[in-house]
Order: sequence, then C-alpha cells, then structure tokens
Amino acid sequence: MIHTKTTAHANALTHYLAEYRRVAKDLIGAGEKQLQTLRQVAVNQFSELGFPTLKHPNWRHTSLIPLLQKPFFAVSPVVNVKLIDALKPAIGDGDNRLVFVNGFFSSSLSKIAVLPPHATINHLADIIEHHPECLPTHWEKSAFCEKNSFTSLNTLFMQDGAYIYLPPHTKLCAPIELVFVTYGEQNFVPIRNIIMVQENSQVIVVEKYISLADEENSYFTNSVTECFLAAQSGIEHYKLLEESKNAMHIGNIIVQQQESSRFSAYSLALTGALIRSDVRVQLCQAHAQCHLKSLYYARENQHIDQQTTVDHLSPETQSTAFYKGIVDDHACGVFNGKLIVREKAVKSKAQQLNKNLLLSPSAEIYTKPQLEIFVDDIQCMHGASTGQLDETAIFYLRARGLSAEDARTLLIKAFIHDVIQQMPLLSTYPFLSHSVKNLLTLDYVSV
Amino acid sequence: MLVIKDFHAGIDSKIILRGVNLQVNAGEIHAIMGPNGSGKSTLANLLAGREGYTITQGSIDYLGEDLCALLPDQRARAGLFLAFQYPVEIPGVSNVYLLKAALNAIRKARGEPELDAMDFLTRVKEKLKLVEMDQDFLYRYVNTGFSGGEKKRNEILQMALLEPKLAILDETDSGLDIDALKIVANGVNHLRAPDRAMILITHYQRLLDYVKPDAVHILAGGKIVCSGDFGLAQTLEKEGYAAILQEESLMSS
Repeated sequence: MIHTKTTAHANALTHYLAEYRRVAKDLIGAGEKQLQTLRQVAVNQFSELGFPTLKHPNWRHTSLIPLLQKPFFAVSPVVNVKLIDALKPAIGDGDNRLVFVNGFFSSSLSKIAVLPPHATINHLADIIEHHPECLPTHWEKSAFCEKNSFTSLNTLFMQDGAYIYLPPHTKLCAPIELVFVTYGEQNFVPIRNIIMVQENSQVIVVEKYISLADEENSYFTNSVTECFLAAQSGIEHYKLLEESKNAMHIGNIIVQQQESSRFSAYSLALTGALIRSDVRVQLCQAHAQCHLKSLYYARENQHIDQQTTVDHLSPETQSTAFYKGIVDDHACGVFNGKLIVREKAVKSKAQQLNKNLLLSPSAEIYTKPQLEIFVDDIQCMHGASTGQLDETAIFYLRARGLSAEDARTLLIKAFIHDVIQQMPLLSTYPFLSHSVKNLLTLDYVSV
Repeated sequence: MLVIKDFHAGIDSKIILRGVNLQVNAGEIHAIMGPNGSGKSTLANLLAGREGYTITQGSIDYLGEDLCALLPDQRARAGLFLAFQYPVEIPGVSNVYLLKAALNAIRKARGEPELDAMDFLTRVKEKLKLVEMDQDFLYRYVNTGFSGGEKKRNEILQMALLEPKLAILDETDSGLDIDALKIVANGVNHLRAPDRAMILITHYQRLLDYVKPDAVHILAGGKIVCSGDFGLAQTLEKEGYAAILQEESLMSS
C-alpha cells in the first residue's frame, strides 16, 4: 500500500515536470524575465515538495491517489464556436463577467460594463502580456513563494485567470462574475486569479466553476486566487463549485489583509469527485477582519475536503469561520480549521464552528478545529458537531402528511438554512443553477 | 370510525399494550385516562404510525381500512391527526412553510386543488384567531423557542387547519396554565363536528371540565380496565387511580 502511494506520487511528479517542459515555451509570459524567475523558484519548490501524502498533517484524510494515478495534460485554447454558443445560457447575462473555457479567457462570452476610472477588470494573460507593470510589487511576497505543492504547480503552469484591480475609494456594487467552464477527459486546467483592492474600495467577486451539462469527464482544475486588501477595503468572495461529477478540483484562496479591511468568503462545494478547498488568511494589520462561511454537500463517492487557516498577526483582529457539511452515501467530508493567534494579536476575537450532518451509515466525516494561541488577552471559541437527521422530527413531519422523502428533504434544507442565510448574494443571485436553487430554497409563502 | 380489537404491542421485548379494545364513532369525543406508564402515549404513537413498535396481536380498523398497514403520512392524509405530547422543534423551517406543505399534501390526497398563497393565508389567519396566536407565529421556526403553552397551541392550530376526521390529543393539556388550557379547550370544542371524532389522552379531569367527553376510559397495565361517562373522570379525580384499579381487580377476581 505504502509502496503504491510512493510510486504514484513519484510518477505524478515526473509527469507534471515533463508536462511543464513540454509546454513551457508556449506558456504565457514565457519571455517575461520576472515571471520566469518565479517559475524557476516554483519548479524547485514543486520538485522538492512533490505531492503531499497522508503523512502530511493537512492531508491526513485526503488521499491524492485518484488524482495522481491518472495523467492530466495541459491544454490549448478552445476555438469551438458551436460549443461557445451552447454555453451561453449557462453563463447568464451579468454586467461584469469574465468567462474562461478550459482555463482560457473567452472574449465572446465575457462582458465588462463601464468601469470607474483606473479600475481594471481583465484577464491575467492580457495583463502579463501588455501591462506587466500592473503586477510585480506583490509577486515576491505573495503566494508565488508559498511552500505549497499545488500553488507551486499552479505558478508553473499559470496561463490565465482573472485580474481585478480597484484604485482607492472605488466601490463596485454589481458582483463581478468569474465563470470557469471546464470539460474534456484528462485536461489539466490551472487558473490564477488576482484581486487587489486599494484603500477604502470594495468589490464582490463570484467564482463559479462549472462543466458542460451532463459532462462526466474527469479533468483537473487547479485554482489559486490571491486577494490583497489595503486599509479599510473590502472583498466579498463567493466560490461555487459545480464541477463535473468525475472532476478533481484543488483550490487555494490566499488572502492578505491590511488595517481595518474586511474579507468575507462564501463557498458552496457541491459537485466534483475530489474537492479540496483551502482558504488561508493573514490578518496582517490591526482591526482587519475576515468571515468564512461554507456549505459542502458530498454524495455518492465524493470526497470534499475544506481547510481554513486564519492567522491573527496584529491587535484587535477578528475572524469567524462557520462551515456546514452534509455527507451522504459513501461520500467523505473533511474539515480542518486552524486559528493562529500570534503574540502581537492582543484583544483579537476568533470563532470557528463546524457542523455536519451524516445521512448514511457509510458516509464519513473528519473534523478538526484547531487553535494555536500565543497570547493571553483574546477571545477564542471553537467547536464541531456531527449528527444525523432527527427521527422524531421525521415522524412529526410525516404525521402532518409529508412523505418520508419530503420530510428528509425539508430537514436537510432546514440544516442548511442558517449558513445560506449568511451568504447575502445567494438569496438574490439570479445565476445559480436550478439544482442549486432547489437545494437552497425553501419556498416560503410571501404575504 | 375507529375499532381497536384485542390490540397487543410493545417496544423491543417489552410488552406495553396487552389487549386494548376500543370503539370510537364519528362525532364522539373519548377521553383516555390512566396512571403513568400505562401505555397511553404508546397507543397514541401506534395510532399515528410511529415506527419502532412491534404489534403482536389484534387489529385496528380505521374507516374500514387496516390502519396498521398504512404509513404515518398515509394515515395523516387519510384524516388522522396526532397532537404530540412533545411537539418537535425544527429550526430552519418556518411554521407557515410546514402548515402549507401539510395542508397541500392532505388536500392533494383528498383530490382537492392545492391552495394558492392568498387563499392559504386567509385560512390560516382565521385559524390563528381561534387559538389566539399572533401572525408572528407563522414566521417563526416550527416550535423553536416556543413556550410549552405556545407549542400546544401550535398543535391545535395545525389540527384546526388540517381538519382531521380523527384527532388524537396526547396530553395536550399537560403543563398548561388555566388561560392556555381554555384556549386549547376552545379550539377542541370548535372542531367538534358530527363527522369528526376525537380521543383526548389526559392525566387530569381539568380539560374535561371544558370539553365534555362522550366516554371516559381508564387504561392501566396496557388494557382498558374501566369505561364510563364523564362521572368516571370525576370519581377518579376524587379517589385516584389506586381506588378504582383496586375495585376493578376485586371485581375481575
């Protein structure tokens, strides 16, 4: 068993390094000196780290074997007009949207409304090619140098993604939608998003990962989203995962926050064979606050792993994490939340709560809320619970005429209700798919 | 309407009901009284179809059908209603949602069209008055954070809205103050109708002062040991179960 894992890990490492050599000259920014330096760092780091095994403390319950035993290949842009037309209905018609097909920007599916002066909403490839001056200052200190296998892998293969920049004192009220449509067997799709908001600016970003209707191909999405929040700024970030049922999705959201900034992350992890979603937040300066909310729903043989790390580095910072999970059939859910409160972070407040509902005797959940505290004068709370549907409640509903199935569905919706209520856009957001709407909404009687 | 014959049932290996016989006709109100642990709530739960019990003998006929063959939701749709002794809290589901889902499920089974939102609300508001509940109740989560009295009134509200043929009230009067008791009793009396039967399970005569039963039964040791009219409840209140049970056992021996 251990032998197989070692082999699969080593083979996969070799495969991706070979794949990098194959496509390196065609990758975006191949001529950009700085980017090349970063890629060299990433190659070294990735070669050194390899893919994590179950021995890694953050990968204890998520085996990467399904991802590693199958080779995924970097792809070229799609120029299939028919396909692009077919995608239109699924994409909706928001005012600000960037659409990426297999990781490449599609200008015909995208639309950007008139923006305030000096604000930029563009795709990363265009920025690297035509405005490289927009990027650099952040690069050395950001995720590019993070010691994380999948971030390094992403830096190596980085092709495209969204680039959002708001100058000081700019508030965008309409959400910016980033739609990532992926399909095709054994496609490897790296996506890199950069969101920078300057002082006193605000933006709402929705990242939506979907596949084509009825798509069952196994592809591998590797996303990294970096968020930089200047003083008093705010980002509301949504991530909706509705990948193909055989897809692998490994995503990292990396956040750096300055004074009094506010970051909210809302995530829905629904479909995809293997989903791993990490959110890492650094509350770098005083009064910064972040709020993470998530709902994950694993069915059949899905494996959904949610990880959070919130690092309180400065005084009077605040964080909350509220993760709710439902695990059915033979699926497996993992929550691993880490709160770190450093020496300087006096008078900080941190809260972490994970609640799970198991719907089947063969469903599994591993939950581990952790605190690392290096200072006294703070308020911290954490907790986790795992339960089943209440049989008495099911009987109560059936005794009122609801079928057993309706009673179960209603109780599942009731379980979801509070966390969804805390995701402001979800009640009004018109671009949710029908299946998500069905899952989330209780058809309340209006007066 | 309801005929229970020589009904034996239990939970796990414990026998609780040991030969219950009871007939309830349309238009009648029957009270079932009895000491703690005599099987009153078991009988109520079995009538509503709660799982986990084993039926070892006997039969229950409801409107010409074998009640035991029906699932709990089929019983509800066939007009049977159980007001729970401990109404269940369901955070996340508003009262109005449950009421609408329940009413439409039952209407559908009766072959009636589902009510639209306006008609539904008009009807619910009418019933709210009956149990003296505020409209706010509709938008609170089902029984969540309700006081004991509010929970029981909520059961009566559901009953009033669903208009069952046979209603079983399992200790709906327990834990109520005198005002709440009157409201519950008023709701029950309001629903009294020639085509509707009710079974009141209670510990005390108090509720029966407001709702006059046609028959009173005493359930003890898993059997109905004694039946009578309202006078039996009065005797019981004066003399307690012990006296009556002793008398019964003397007579039967």
